Amino acid sequence: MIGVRDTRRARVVLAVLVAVALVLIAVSYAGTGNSVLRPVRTASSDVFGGAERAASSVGRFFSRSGSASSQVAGLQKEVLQLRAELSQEQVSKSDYAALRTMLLVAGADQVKVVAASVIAVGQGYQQTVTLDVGSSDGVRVGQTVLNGQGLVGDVTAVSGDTSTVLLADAGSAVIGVAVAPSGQLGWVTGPGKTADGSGVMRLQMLSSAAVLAPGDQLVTGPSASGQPYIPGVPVGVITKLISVNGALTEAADVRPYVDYSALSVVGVVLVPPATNPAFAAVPPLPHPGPTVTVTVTARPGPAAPGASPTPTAGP
Amino acid sequence: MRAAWLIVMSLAVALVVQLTLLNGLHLPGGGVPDLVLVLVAALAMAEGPVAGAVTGFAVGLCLDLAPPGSAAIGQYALVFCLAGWAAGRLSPVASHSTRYSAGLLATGLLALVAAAAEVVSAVVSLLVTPRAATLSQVRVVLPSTIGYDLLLCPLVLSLVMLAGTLLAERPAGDRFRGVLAAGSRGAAPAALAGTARSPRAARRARRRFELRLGQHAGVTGDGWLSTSRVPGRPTGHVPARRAPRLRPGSGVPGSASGLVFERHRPAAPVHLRLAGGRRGDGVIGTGGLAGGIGSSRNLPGRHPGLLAGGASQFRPHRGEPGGSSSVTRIPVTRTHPPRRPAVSFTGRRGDGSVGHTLSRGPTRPALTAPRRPATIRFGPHRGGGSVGHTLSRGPARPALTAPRRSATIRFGPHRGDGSVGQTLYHGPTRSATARPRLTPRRRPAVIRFGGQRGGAAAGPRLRMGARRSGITAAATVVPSLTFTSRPSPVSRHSAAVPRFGRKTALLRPARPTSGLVPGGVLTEATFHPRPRRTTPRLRLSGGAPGMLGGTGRGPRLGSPPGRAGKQPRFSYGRRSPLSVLTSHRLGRRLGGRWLARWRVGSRSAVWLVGRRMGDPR
Repeated sequence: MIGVRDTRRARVVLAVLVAVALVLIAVSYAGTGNSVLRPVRTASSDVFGGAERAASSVGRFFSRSGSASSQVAGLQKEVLQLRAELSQEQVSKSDYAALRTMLLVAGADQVKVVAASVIAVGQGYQQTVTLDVGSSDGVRVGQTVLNGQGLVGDVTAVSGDTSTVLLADAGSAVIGVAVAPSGQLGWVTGPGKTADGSGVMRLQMLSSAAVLAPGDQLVTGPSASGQPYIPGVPVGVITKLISVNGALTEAADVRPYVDYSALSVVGVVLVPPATNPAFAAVPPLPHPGPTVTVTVTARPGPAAPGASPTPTAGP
Repeated sequence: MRAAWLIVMSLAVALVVQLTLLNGLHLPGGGVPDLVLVLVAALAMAEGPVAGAVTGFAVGLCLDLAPPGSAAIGQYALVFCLAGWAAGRLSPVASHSTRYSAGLLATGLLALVAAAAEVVSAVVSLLVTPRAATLSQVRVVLPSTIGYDLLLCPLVLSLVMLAGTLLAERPAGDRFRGVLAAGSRGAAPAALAGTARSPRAARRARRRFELRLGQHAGVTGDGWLSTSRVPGRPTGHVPARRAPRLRPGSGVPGSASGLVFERHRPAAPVHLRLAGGRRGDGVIGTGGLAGGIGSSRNLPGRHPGLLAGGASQFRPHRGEPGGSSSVTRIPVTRTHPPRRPAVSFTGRRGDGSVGHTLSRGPTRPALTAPRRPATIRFGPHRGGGSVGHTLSRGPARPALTAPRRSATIRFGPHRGDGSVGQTLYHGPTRSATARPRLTPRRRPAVIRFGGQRGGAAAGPRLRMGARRSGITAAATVVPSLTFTSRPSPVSRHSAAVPRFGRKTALLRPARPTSGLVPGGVLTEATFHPRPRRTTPRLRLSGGAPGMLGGTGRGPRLGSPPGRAGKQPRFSYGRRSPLSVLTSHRLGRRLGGRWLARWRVGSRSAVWLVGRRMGDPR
């Protein structure tokens, strides 16, 4: 194949390759919208995207025991057309739950979404995922991605059949938010990769007069033409206030609604809502109350053989 | 081709699995195993640095371009390219280790490369995407990533070795023997080595299934792991690149010893002596003794060409073991009693000044080597088999270091004849600050009658037995006697005509080297006056100068071949234009010192020249 004895030539080869890599890095670093590398990326996305789609469908076939994977494609059309009830027989349980909650969010917002599956995850410190919808499905760069829990991210690159999403918890993502009760504005930055996968976001308020409290919920704030995030998508809830010495504005830790390490079915918002839904999509606050426990005790008698003493927990 | 396809397919599968499955895993610690990196490094350990670098670059580029994509295209291409190259470079370390620890060592090296590559990858991410990858993230994620990689290393390495072994061991597929993906280059010699291996090795190979790495995955019975870089050699245990050559005629300067600067040395007249008398032997540099070590002539940094006119004499046979014309200044060489020639027709076991190890240390214990009469030995001769025996200079290379060897014939009572396969250091200066670079040349035993040193225009050569394949295959070789006048393999490199040669009748350039010099002082790098009578008195070929020794510029030699050997770029006879940079103060300030080193490369003698020019005392 290639001679291995000639170390001089080996060094030359290595130097050439390293130089090429450095040039590539420099070129792609210089301009992200570079016209030189853009077609290369698009073409490779088409090639590798097909492989990833196939591989992830195989993986989903094994992980979800059958019937779901073949029907997801059909389901997506149905979601787009009906945006209504889905029968549980048509979809696997996990997909059903995800789709249903997502449709609730989307339905509350009155937006049009296209359902998609995560087929690949970025390498290294990149917090990006690849979806199996692309420009042929109407996806464009800059559209918002959400799921049943809340904001997932925004589309950063689109090829024919795939699209790349920058997750909202990436270290480079900045989300403009509005605090639920008061409507005060601030921004949230992602934690990046963390050890346990569920990082805590950091909220920074714009106004020094803003008052925060733990438990306040955040939605994406209003933005021009709905980019990068459409308004009104739930982001997270404030868990802890942070006081920074000398800071003019308040800061807080935010626990995101979305579990970014377990994304499966997401929706890309094709048509943003006509009006700002404000806090319509905010999930109901968990009501702190006493847990009622009902205990059914089987009567000792021959009449009730089927009943067994099972404690059931109710809300 | 099959193997290449297998490599490509495995890398593609690993890439897709990495992106779709592994990266999506939610593992404690936050990191995920980097299957692609480990696979690239493992393949590079089997394939070598160049293939590793190319493979790593290609796969890294694919990883950059595959849909989620990296922030900057080329980021993983850079990291994986370096990782592949490093793994390819490090794998001979494992193959040269002892047998059972080789696998462990290979795994450790692979883990080391993977961990280093993860660190480099994190650094590149920090540099390229400073917002996406912060230092705190790296601190959290990097240890767990390295940990998962280390878990992956033994698995991937054994899979790669298993695939290579199975692929190379197809029963009818001798054509594919040898290399996992080295194509047909090493196929024929590997097959030869495989068929000629000893019955014991064959039995051992049948008994045990071995995983092997690298080019000789198909040669069973040679060890658990072998990454010999020499195609056709059965294992990594025989690192010889060039076979030792036995020159019985002695007088050829630096005859059989693998000299570093062989090509640059002038040829010298050769005496064929069948008797012990040494009366007319010229002496090179005896007069140098008068100057003594450390005299003004020997100041390092002096140009050798400026030192002509000393009282030295030319003595081609004296001094060094190896028959070289190198000069010793040690009086102990003179105290050797004259030797008696002898002819013995029986193989002697201990008769091994052939390949006797000469120490290269400054204390010269080499000169205490037993003097030995000339012997003619017929018959298979095991003890003589220490030809090429002194090769083990690196880590332990068990087995195969002393293959059985056939008869050797020696003509000419020559003590130093034993430096066959020997590495003598003949660097030019060997000053106290200089590091000698020992680059051994090992050769098979080739008996020569009057072969020119450079090999061009060689006289008839007697080859007895020890063929190259006989060495490499480690089989008993039937001695065969062939009289051929085939060109020497070295003849492609010209018999060195030094650039600084001055073509006067009286001056004859001595080698710019000084041989083993105690204390590491430059001694004989000079021009010495040639004695009047230097014509060989006995010549086998009717006085043709190029025949038996001779001048090296005999009529048979003609012009040097097209691909001449490399000459030192800073030659002695003329000044390089670059020397202005290195000699003047301004030039040195402009970086001429670095330039000189860079230009002359790292070879010892030339390096020293450049260095000295850069830093005169």
